[in-house]
Amino acid sequence: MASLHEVWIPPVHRDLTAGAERVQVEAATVGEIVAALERRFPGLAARLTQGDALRPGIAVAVNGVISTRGLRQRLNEPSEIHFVPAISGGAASSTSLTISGAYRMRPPAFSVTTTLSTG
Amino acid sequence: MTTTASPYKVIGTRPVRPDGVDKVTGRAIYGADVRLPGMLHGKVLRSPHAHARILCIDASAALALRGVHAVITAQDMPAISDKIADLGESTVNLRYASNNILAHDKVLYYGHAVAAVAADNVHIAEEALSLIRVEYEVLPHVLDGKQAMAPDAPILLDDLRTNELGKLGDRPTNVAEHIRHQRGDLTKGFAEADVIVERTFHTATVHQGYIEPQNATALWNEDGQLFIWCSTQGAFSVQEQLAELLQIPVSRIIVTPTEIGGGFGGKINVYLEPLAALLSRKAGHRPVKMVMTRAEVLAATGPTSGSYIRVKMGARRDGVITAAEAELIYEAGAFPGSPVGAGCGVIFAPYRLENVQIDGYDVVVNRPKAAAYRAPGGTNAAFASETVVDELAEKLGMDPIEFRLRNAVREGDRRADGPEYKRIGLIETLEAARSHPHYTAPLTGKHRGRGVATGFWFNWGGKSSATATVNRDGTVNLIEGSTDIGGSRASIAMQLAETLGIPYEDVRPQVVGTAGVGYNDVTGGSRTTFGTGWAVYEVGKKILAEMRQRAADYWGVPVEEVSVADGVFAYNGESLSFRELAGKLDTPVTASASVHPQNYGPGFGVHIVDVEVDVETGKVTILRYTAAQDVGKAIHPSYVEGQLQGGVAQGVGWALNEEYVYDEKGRLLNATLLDYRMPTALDLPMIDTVLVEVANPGHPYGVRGVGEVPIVPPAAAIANAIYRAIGVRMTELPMSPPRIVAALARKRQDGVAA
Repeated sequence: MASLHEVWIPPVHRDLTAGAERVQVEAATVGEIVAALERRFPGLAARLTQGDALRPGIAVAVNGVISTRGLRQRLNEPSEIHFVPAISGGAASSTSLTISGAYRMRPPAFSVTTTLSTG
Repeated sequence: MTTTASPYKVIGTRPVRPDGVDKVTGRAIYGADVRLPGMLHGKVLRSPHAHARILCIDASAALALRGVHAVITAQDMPAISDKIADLGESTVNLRYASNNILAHDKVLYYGHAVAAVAADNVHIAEEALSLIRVEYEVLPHVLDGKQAMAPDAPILLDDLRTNELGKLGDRPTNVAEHIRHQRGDLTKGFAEADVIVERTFHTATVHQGYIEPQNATALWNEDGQLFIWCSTQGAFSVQEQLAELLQIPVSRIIVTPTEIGGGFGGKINVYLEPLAALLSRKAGHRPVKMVMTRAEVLAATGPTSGSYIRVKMGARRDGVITAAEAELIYEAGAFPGSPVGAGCGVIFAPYRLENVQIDGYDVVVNRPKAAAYRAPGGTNAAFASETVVDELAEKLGMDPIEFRLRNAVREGDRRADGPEYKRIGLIETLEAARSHPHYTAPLTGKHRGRGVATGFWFNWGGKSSATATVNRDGTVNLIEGSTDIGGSRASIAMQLAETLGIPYEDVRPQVVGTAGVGYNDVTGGSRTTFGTGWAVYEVGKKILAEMRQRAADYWGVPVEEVSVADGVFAYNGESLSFRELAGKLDTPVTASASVHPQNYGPGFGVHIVDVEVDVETGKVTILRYTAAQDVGKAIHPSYVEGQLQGGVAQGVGWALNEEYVYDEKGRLLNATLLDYRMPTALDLPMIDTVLVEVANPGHPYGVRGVGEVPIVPPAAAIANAIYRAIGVRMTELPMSPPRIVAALARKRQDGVAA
């Protein structure tokens, strides 16, 4: 059963919402909120999500509590939703990805000689 | 001192720690004590350059040396895809983590690992290192975060693009991440201000300074089973990192944590474990032990970020802060992942703000990759904001604690990043500090001053598992997986004893490895007494429920008719103590629980410090120090006090002396504890503590994390005290003698406060 939630738009994404700081969204899950945001503000979902999950480094706070369920978090009552930088362990850093998640580590470019020398 | 009477029998007492005797007699087994039959010794070849391309590595001469059994380079590491791993107290991109463990195509900092050797003993291994020839193409380097942001700065990672909460930049950069929190209208807020203070601060790179160096012993069996013994804050985190870095199943890795000689966040990322594992496999499946030297620890394991921080705040004459703006530039080291996100959260956390903007930048530089360090990023941030807050109070002619009280956050106020605070204890902690005798004690003498500062930390819940078994004599064996760094074996056992209604001495806790207990996140984020305490509370409830059923069976009555209170089971006038009932068990009682609690309450601290400055030498002496903190509920008050004192001690070092010093080629010059000046007992007075107990409603016993808050305020409190002592606002850490002397000289020259 969907209810109406207050969603806070992260400051760096307000370029997509004409500067709007908060919007009202009807949804039953955080995933539905992202889908609804995408319909109103195209491009927002790609910034917040990767595949069927929140992007690494992004967390969602529901009524002030960081959800461990991410997009699958059910919203059973009118809630306040914030997408925030994930601060791991209440402690340290969010970590950037590079160009795309598909990037693979190059094999080391240097040559290695590990055969026995004759000397 | 506690502010409320304890209703508990065990919680709030001060029993002896279970590991105390082993540690004071030298019997405790640390990582360097591990010895296995046929064991080899490994050493690491490290980069002499801050930034260079590796052209070739010739290890043939090293391999020819008698007693050398294996040499590895990055070519022995599996290829890793971009993937973010949550290590508990930090996250890491595993591709970068792999690159940090052994340099792939470039070395990115002085001390970056290039190759590793396994030999019969350490001396042969070291000689072998000297025989490995590496050809480098030296590249321009950049050590400074601001310089690394310049358009013409050398680029460390060609593929790096700036990430703004999922919005990716389109050009090569050293700025890995930009974070912004923004609410209200800054222009309007500053227009309403009667007083505005703006300053820019710089803080040096500092190290966690744990006494025990990193170590690891690995045995990679012929059947593919990998055994690791190491000093770590989280055995399961080591297991997960190794599974990803070596591309083997988690179930093939058994990690046994040894006792740990300090970590402070620095013993979460793996460094030696993958090397020892690869060397073991390559050396014919013989065990390999590796132990870092102090120089390696300082040069190549995670320090925390140096930073530039600009803070601008405005306030009205009535003492209300009207606007606050900050820009934080944190040096991540060679790979992304500075604690700038946390710094952005800490910087204005104590204050109710309607108009606020915070920008944070995570910047890669040619220094070792930053790792978590006790309230990562918090000390830097608070040094800047709490100095500006102090100056605002001064300009308004207000008492600094009164000014803070006027603006302090309470339940329902919003954080800068949006969400509202739950129940917090900042007001109570400020009031406790204000009413402490220290705050009003006379402070006389030349060049003496008193400073105060507040600090905040998020705290964390994390995942915890525990198992307990009831013995026939009524004692209980507790199996837990949280590395005990600060006395958590006692604080966890006490919570189980309290839940069961039995004496603390009847619970025998043991920390085991990945093969012996369910998953546990790292000991970090100030989570263990909270999170693992939750787990044993659940274990205790399960045991009581089972024991109650057994009592009902014994009396032959429905379980509902058996009551349980204070460890006594009763029915119709008959009773059995926990111990008596345990003796009648014909089937053992064992219970396990796994939890992932979310309602960890954040913590606040308020510190008061008196200093004396020698204006000739610039030396700052700490005369008196008092740390007040909202601790939720102090399970073992002595260990909570110890956490506060330890945090202050580290904060004093950060404030006054500690810094990484590099030469013009980017080589670390002070990789010894003689030249990297950590405080000793002689540098510190007794540190008084005030435990304020505002119970966290999100924990059965009201626990909040306590370990990280106390390192947040010291640098700012000391800076504010120095200002009152000599009239100079210090804006650079460390506030070492040369900087104090230089600041005094500038003051004399300018005729005004710097």
